[in-house]
Amino acid sequence: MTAPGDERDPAGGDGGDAALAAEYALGLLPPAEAEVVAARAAADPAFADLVAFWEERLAGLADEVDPVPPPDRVLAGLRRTLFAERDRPWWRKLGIGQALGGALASALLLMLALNQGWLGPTPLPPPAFEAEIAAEDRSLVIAAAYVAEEGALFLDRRVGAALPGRALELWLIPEGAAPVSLGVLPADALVRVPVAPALRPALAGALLAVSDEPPGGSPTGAPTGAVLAAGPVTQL
Amino acid sequence: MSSREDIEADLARIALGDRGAFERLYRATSAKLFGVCLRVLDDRAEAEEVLQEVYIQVWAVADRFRPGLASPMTWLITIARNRAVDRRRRRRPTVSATTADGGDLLADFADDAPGPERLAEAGDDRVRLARCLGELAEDRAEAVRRAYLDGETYAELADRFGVPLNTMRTWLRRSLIRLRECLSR
Repeated sequence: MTAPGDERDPAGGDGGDAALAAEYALGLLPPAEAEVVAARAAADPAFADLVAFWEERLAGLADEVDPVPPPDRVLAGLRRTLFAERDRPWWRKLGIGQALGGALASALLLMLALNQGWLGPTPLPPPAFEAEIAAEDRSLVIAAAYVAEEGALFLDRRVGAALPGRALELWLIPEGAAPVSLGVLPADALVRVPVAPALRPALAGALLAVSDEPPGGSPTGAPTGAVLAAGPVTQL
Repeated sequence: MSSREDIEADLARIALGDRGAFERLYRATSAKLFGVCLRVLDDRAEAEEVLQEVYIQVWAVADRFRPGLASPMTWLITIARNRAVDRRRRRRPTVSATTADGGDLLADFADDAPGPERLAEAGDDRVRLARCLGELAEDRAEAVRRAYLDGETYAELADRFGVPLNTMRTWLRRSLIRLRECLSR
């Protein structure tokens, strides 16, 4: 029987695509080659099928692995990270393009504000802009919302972190202009980033991006490391 | 252990932000995924961190799971295994090269071969995989297992089997092609 992709194999060769897909699925390729193959899998459905074939079949090997109950602190950590009352469900809604009704959003924002300790005399209004700053492979995902009355962005880092010994720096890239640093992100998942008054009008149509920088941030005022994640700012 | 249908239903609910479904899925699947992470990383603290990342990812991308394409356990195991291997690759090479053998944790997994009971409860695909691996020479099948379950690199495998790296690569690619032919029969 002919399996998908066989026709690509060079006659009498070393297995061609099927072997390459297996090596990729196993994570055996050097990083540079793996990147090329990942791009290919994204663009070539037949090749993607081959990778899926291997991922599926090889996962059967996990039958040989005995289950080991993880310690309770893992679930406790997940609850803290994902479900901390202050960042749900308001934050969860960010980045999927859904604005909440005013009253509900205000109530949740109030709670959020109380928890974060930046409360003024009145409840926070709903955000004016939002963005999802995400890596293409979603290894880094940050939800962002801008509350005009606060003059601040609220960020929720949901997936990923700075590399060891490195920092994540947030950039605002106004339409047709150079990136402006909004500062280095602290280790906390949930942060408030003030936006200077002069920059606020530039939010509409801008891009938010996060780059990999040395501790303390870019020494030059422009991104020096790889741009790890980016996303457009959309008006709510 | 929950059925495939239960896990699929929970993934669909998680995509809608259902915490209860998330905790149910965690209870049903975390021991298996922790086992997979431990096997690759052979380090409890690292495996715990990776396990946490795995479920954060599941929470974030549950809507990408397509029932009917892959079994939900396969999908989850692939996420866990790949994240654990990524973590293992990021270690300094000297570290990963020396953790391949020994260690208390590995003792827990000493009995790797699926027993008759396990084979009986596994699906047809699993039985076929076991049979097809059985058709390979023992050391070739072992190399495939090491690459997948332990996340070993070509360099580590070449070291283990005492062959040059290029030979190892040719060897493993041929084994994988034979495996695929057998699995596609």
